Amino acid sequence: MTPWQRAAVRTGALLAALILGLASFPTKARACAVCSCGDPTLTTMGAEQPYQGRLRASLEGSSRTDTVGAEGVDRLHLSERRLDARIAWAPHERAFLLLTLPLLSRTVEYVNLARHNTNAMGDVELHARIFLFRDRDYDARHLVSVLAGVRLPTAPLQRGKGGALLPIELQSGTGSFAPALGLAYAHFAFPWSLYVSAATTYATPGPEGFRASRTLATTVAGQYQLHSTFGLRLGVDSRLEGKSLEGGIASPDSGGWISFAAGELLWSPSMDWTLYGSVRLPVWNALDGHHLEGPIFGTGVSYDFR
Amino acid sequence: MRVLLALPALPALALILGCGTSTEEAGLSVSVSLAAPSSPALEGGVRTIRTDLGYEVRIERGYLATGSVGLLPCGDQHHHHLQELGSRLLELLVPKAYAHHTGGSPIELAVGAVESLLAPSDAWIALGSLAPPPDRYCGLRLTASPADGSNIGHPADGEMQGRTLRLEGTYQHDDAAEPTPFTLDAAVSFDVDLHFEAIDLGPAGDQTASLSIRKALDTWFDGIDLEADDDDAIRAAVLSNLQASLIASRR
Repeated sequence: MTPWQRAAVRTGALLAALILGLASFPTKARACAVCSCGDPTLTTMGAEQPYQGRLRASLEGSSRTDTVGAEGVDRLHLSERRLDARIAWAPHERAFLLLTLPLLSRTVEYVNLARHNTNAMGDVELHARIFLFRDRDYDARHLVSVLAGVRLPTAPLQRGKGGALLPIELQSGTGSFAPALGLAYAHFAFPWSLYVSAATTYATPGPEGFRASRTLATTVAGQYQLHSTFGLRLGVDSRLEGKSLEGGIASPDSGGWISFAAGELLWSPSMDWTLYGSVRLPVWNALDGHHLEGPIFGTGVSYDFR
Repeated sequence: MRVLLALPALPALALILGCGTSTEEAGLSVSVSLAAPSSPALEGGVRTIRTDLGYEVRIERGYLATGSVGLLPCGDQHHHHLQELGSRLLELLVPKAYAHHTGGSPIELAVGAVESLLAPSDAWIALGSLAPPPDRYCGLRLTASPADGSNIGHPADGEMQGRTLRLEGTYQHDDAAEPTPFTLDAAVSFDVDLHFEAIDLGPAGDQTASLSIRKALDTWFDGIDLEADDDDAIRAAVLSNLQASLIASRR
């Protein structure tokens, strides 16, 4: 583990302890987030309305596949299952902090059917959403926020046969700090809502000439509340990425554009609880070289503490 | 609610402890080796060959350089051509930008070696292991090419630098009074396809295989009139006989 990774682990552990400490504070039996923000829209993590002291946690499980390399030559097939634990806390009515702790279970299959299974921590992410504009303090209809965050190099770098680092696309993390900056707009007009965001991530150089792709990720999603306890969210998630570096050389199977059509069903069985399931289908794969990303399936639960 | 509180603690705990587990399952592999000449017998550090034209050739020093070895799938070549044509047509309709990932071919061992032709007959050089995809394989392609300093077994005196084959010794016709010294050098590259009984590599077939490339020197000077033929003709004939003498088989 590099000194940077050790520092990131300590930082992550400190943040985790902080969040757990926060979550252990006595809270009201019922937070009633709807009452506090004035809007009954069921929201996914990261798209919620802020109010001072709002504290929300979620657990999301997801699976995806990623294939890199030429068939019969150097193809690597990745199957990934991940568990993301998230805590979102609003220390101010115009600020949200979001901590993501990922746990990954990954299987890489080589052309000769050899398999490499790894269960490890992913890169911890810490994001802040600062609301620059809201049309009114209570039951806001229009919200504009700036997104800022950083991904910490907490994931162990994985090596293949012979000790060589696996391609960056197949790593649990990037091995480096990756600051992110973006803008988001949310519109709430019950039963409709709209969420649009664009964020760029600037990966810094990692060990052994490794550097993850620098990306621009966009989301456009519309949601319709079918019922007071059901919401249907449809959207498009896209990613434009530059070349990643391996050994200081641009990886030919990196970079390009990919868009996913996203569908998500939200269900609130009782106050402050939201269960959701999602599917993201790659509808436009213009990634460079031999690189195919498969569908992403996810399911999770969130709870509003305050 | 306490359960929900506890769940985020799991990744956090994993982070604090820095834990992570990793397991590997071996895949298909094929090891390849070069066997020393099986005949004629090595006697007193010399191999003595009787040719079909009545010569006795004594090999007192000899090396052969190998550049790489690749596995040959059994596939029907005609079928492959049709597949390739289909792929090209599909690419015209749906263009794709393909680039090769670093890492080389899993069915080629680009490991150079220099073997002594005077090594004991039970000696062998391990070229390495291939990690091929599932397929039915019927042969090996041996590429002989001039050696450089990186070849396994390269003589310390650098004698094989830039050479593919070197033979030193004497020849003597049955009618001749005395043996004549000779040196034969070659610096050419050539491929030889060596076929063997098919190996099915895959989940339902073999998981591993060991292949050996063997040779016998008995026929290397057949059809050559060493007293009459010029050096180029002798070199070409020896290389042709050498290629014909190579055999690949499972060990």
